Amino acid sequence: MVKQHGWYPYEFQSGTTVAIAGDDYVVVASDTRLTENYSILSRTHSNVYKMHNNSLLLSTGFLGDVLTLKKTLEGRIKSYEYTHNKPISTPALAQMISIMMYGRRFFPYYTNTAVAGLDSEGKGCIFGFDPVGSMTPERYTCEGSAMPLLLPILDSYMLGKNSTKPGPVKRTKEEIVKMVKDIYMAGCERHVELGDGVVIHVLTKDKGIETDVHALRKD
Amino acid sequence: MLGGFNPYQPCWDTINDKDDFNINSSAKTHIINPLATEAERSIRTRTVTPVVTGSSVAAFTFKDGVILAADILGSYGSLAKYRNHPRIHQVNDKTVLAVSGDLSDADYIKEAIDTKVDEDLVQEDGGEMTPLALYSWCTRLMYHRRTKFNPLLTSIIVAGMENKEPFLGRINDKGSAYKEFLIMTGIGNHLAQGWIRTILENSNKLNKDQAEQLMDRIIKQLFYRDCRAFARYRVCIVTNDGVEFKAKEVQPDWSLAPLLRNTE
Repeated sequence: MVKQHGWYPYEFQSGTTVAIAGDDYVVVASDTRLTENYSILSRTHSNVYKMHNNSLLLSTGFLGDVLTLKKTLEGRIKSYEYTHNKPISTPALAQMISIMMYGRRFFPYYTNTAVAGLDSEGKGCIFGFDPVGSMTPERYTCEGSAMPLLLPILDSYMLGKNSTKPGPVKRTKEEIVKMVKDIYMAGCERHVELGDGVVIHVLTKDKGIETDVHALRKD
Repeated sequence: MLGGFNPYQPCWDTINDKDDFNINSSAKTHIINPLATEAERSIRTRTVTPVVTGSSVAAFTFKDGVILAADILGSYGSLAKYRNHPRIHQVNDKTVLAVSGDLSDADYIKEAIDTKVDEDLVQEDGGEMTPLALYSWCTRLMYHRRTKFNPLLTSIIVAGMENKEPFLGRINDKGSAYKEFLIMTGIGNHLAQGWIRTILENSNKLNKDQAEQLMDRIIKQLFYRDCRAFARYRVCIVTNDGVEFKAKEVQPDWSLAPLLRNTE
C-alpha cells in the first residue's frame, strides 16, 4: 500500500563557510555563489546570517531547511529576549539550536550549521553542529561543499597539524582575514561550486560586525 | 474565516468515486462518505508528478522596476492543450506572481493569495501585501507542503516594488528561495540565463524600453529551442507607477533553418 515517491524532499545547494575564533574576535566567511545542479542561481548569496543577539549563524546544505532554521531561530531569539530581558548569549543559543535540530531527528534539517559569537568574557567562540544537532565547541570550523579542500589548510595554519612545525600559532585578526581570502582563492581553482566572491565578517566587542567582500573568479 | 477557504487544510473529504458515479445509492439517500483510512487518502490525493505544466518564466529587474514574461500555454505532457492560460498573476498594485510547473497547484496558490488579499482589504486600514511579505509567505507555504510530503510542484516567482525598489525572488517546490536581479525557471534557466546574465552584468541599468526589447529577444530564443514553448505570451512590467500587462506573439525568423543540416 506504500506508494513509491519519485520526488525527494531534499536538494543540495552549494556554499562553503569558514569561521575562526580568536581571543577577542571571531572571523566568519562565506562564499557568495548559490548553485543548483550545475546552474548558478546567484552570485551574491551569502550563507552567513546575522542574528539579533549579535552572533552569526553559518548554514549550508539544503536552502529550504536553512531558511526555515534561520526563521525559527529568529523568532525564538526574540522570544528569549522578551522573557529574560537580555539578549541570548552565544553558548545558550548553541544549546537551543542543538535541541531544535534534534527535535527533527527523524526528518532532519539537512544543514551543516555553526554559530559564532563572543562569549560572556568577550572571547570568540564557535559551536559546530551536524545535521541532527550534535554540538561541539571549536576554535575554527569549515563547512560546506568545498570543506574537504579548505579544512586541511586551516588545520595546518591554525594548529600546525600535519606539518613540519607542529603546535598552535597565535595569529592576529588581520592575518586571519588575509588567510581566509587566500584559502578561498585556492579553493576556487579546484572546486566548481566555489567562486564569485567571499564575504568576510569580523566580530569584535568594540566595533561589532565589520563586513568586507572580496571578489573571486566567476568561472 | 472568510469564505471558509483554508489553504492549510486539503479538501480531501469528498473525493470518492462511488459518490461521483452514484453507484449503489439512490438520489434520495445520497450521502458522501469520507475516505476511510489515512493511507487511502494519501495515495489518492498527493501529486508527485505534475500533470498540466507551464514552461519557463523569465524575469529581471531594470532601472525603474521589474519585467517578467511567460507564455500562455498549459501543456498536458507533450500536448499543447490549454493555449490561453496566462501564468502571470497580479496580486496588487505593486506585487505580481508568476508560476511555472504544475498549473493546478499554481491555481491553488493563486486562490490562497487572493483570499489573503481579500482578508487584508476587509480590514480597511490601507495595509497591502508587499512583494517581500508575499515571498516570505510563499516560502513558508511551499516548505510546509514539502514537509508533509505533499508538495506543490510549481516554481513561484514573486516580483514587484518593495519600498520603491525593484524586488525579484523565486521559491521552488521544496521551499528553497532566493532573491536575484535575474531569475529564470524551467528550461529557460539553461537556454537563456547564461547570456542574459552577461548582458545585464555588463550594462548599466536598462530603461523600460530596452528591458522590453531584451525580454522579447529572450522569449524568442526560448521559442526556438524549447519544445514546450508557445508563440503567444504575456509581458508584465511593474514600476512605481503600477502594473502593466502586454499580450505579444513571437515573430520567429526561420530563414536560419536551411543552414541547419538536420532540419532539411
